[in-house]
Amino acid sequence: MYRRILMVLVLGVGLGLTACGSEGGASSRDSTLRWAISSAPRSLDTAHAFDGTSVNVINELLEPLVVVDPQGQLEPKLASSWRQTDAVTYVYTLRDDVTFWDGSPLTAEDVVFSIERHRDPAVASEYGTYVKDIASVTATGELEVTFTLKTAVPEFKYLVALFSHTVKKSFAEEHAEDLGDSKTLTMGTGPYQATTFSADGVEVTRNDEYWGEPPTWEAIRFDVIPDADTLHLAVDGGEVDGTFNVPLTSSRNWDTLSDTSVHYVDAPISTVLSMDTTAPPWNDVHLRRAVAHAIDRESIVATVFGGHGRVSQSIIDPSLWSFLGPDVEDFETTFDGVRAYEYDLDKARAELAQSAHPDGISFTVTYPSGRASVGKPLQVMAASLKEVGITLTPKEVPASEWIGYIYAHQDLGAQILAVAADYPDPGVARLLLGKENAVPNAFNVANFTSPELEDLLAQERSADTGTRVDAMHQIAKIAAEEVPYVPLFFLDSTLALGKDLRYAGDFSYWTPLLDEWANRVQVRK
Amino acid sequence: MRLALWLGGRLAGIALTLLIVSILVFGILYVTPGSAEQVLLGTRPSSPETLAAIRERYHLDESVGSQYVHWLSSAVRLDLGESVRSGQDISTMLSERMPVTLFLAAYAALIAGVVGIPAGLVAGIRSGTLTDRAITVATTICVSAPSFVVGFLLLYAFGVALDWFPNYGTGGGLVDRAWHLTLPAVALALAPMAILARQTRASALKVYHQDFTTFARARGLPRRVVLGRYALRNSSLPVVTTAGLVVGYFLTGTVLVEQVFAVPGIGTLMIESVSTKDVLVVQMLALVIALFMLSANLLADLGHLALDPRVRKGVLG
Repeated sequence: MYRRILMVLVLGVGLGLTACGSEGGASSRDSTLRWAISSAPRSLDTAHAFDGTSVNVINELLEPLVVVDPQGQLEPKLASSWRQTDAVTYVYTLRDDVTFWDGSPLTAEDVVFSIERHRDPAVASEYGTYVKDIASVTATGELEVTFTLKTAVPEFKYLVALFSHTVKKSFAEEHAEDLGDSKTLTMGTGPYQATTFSADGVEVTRNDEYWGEPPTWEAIRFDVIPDADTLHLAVDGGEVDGTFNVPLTSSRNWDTLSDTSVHYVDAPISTVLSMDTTAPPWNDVHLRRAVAHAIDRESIVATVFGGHGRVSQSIIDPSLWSFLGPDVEDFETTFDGVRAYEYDLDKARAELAQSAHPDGISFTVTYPSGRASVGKPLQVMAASLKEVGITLTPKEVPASEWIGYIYAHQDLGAQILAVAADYPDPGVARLLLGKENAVPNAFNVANFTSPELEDLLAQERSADTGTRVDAMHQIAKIAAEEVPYVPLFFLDSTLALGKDLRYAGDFSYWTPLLDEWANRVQVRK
Repeated sequence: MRLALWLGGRLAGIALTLLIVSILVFGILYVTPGSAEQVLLGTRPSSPETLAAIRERYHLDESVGSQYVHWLSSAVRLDLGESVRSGQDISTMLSERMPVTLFLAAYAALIAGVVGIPAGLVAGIRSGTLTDRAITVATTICVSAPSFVVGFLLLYAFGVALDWFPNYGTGGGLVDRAWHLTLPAVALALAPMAILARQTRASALKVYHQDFTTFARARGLPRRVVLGRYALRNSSLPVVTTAGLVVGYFLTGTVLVEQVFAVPGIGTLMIESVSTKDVLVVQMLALVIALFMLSANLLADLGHLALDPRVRKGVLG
């Protein structure tokens, strides 16, 4: 009997090899989009679900005042127009034709309420950091919302796209304790309405009364598939229509799928190696430079990620400069005079010889378990560092333990971390810098600061774009001279789609993060 | 009366074990690095005010002892608290996830029992033959193949290549659910099935060559009576003990299998909760699994009582 089972297995595998080539695309397409996500949203309440997967789902349900288009430009959503009246005042005028799923009209009260929730310490919103500079947000008319800031925040116009997702006030008040959970769900204005939410995933159906363009799909099923290999098989078998979760470290396997096309686009997701500049051994700039010269970023991007990434030379992503406005110089010139660390073992040895550790050192870098996108690069880095006498030992620890080390901000040593930009502005790099962030629960894990840098960081907050650009140029220069962080690479965003589907317009890192996206996924005619 | 006393003693033992498990799990989670308030605040910087509000709400600023007492006093009132990761009531999460895992475990137990026990019996009775050797080889393979490897093999063969079964998910309705969970149940059942088969074979071998079985055969009793009444019942004691242990395996083995087949049961919940240090959820899952194990052992012992008059006499007098 077992022999028979084994034969079936062998036969099955054999059949599979031939069947794969001959099968066509998913032929029977109903009007439900089946989208794979890696875990269920933690909540449908934005305040407690600020992570990639949850945001992708919530963007179909709740709408913000403005959104960011694929090119990174602001577009109106619930607000028909907005204006900045002075450095700290922003006024948004709402559309007058928007209704919630229950038919009631959207008012400025609902918008103000949704934003006030993030400001309420009792709610403990994950967006707290992005609303901390708001002095007040008020309904200055039936359809008008006015923000007053405590200080100028150059990227504020983009932040509004992150935190202004609006939920109906009376609904949220009625369900103050359980808004966004699997029983209560939520009440929004979006093109799709949540119908079920469980550990299985989320199902949403078309909002027939939607105020904007009619939604593309009758329904969308967000199915949870945590394991990357299972996801690959499910996509291969045509059981899901698409996903954003293609692991770059196995992109080669995905590229060979016959009925699926995988799109890769540049994304401002920066991976850096940090070194605590205030404690030995890393308080030695020559040691840090030696490490920077001994890492072969080109080959990491080419071999580990199949070329689906960009080698980085600075903690500031060059692709973000252009968002400062049309008058900002081309980034190539903006990076003029910024010290670069090409892969050169002789230069690394020379720097090491000048350091306090001419014979090299040994150090450990922890990384979150299962995260091949940092684990594999660490292996490659360890190999080339070995050549100059520096021993790097990568150590895999549970994700909660890893983030615990980072947030505790003690005995930081060297760390590897990936920082994704939440909004299109090169100023996001400031999260890694300065006194303000060299504390527990913040990300200056290199403890990098100096009076000069603090001055520049203050200038970077200026309302004047020219001043900001000059300041950031100086910051980039200092960060490159002192190398508190070795910039490693920027990883691509991915989109896998069944061959019978197409993505209308450009796929971009910004869309699923800062705009509704499922209506762009359309059946190929 | 004696039975009630015996049962009462066993139940008290279970309660005490659960209490000890809860203290151990709570303590271990407390000393592992990582902070619960960070899970609550996500991966963005947070303000001191928000941190203070969170700490107060979840009693995080109190000592580990008083946190445990908080938990225990709510837990005995069946208030399991809420997950720090999702803010959901833990009782809701359990009621959502438990049925899937129990279904999967029961399905796997069924497969393991229905295939494993007869296979072991046949191998034991026909010991030394080609059938016996084939079954032995097969069980060796089954017991040594890791469930997640078997899982991917099954997925590829029956999910993708043959397209007989779905690749992930749980389905709705009884039939649809059984269809969705067949591959995971097979992956989960293989190792315990092999253990059951081995155990049955060993004890059948012993029983089948004892005098009373030989005598029964010599009297010309039909084969099914010899096998059913003499061989199976007498060889069932060690099998029942093994079954008790194996059932416990189903709940722990499901961690890997659920991950591979994207089954949102308590196994995947365990992975999510441990990796985000969702203390109360991990605590509850550990207790549920412990309770399950202990109950399975108790049932196995009750099974002994029912099957073996000698044991019955020992306990009940």
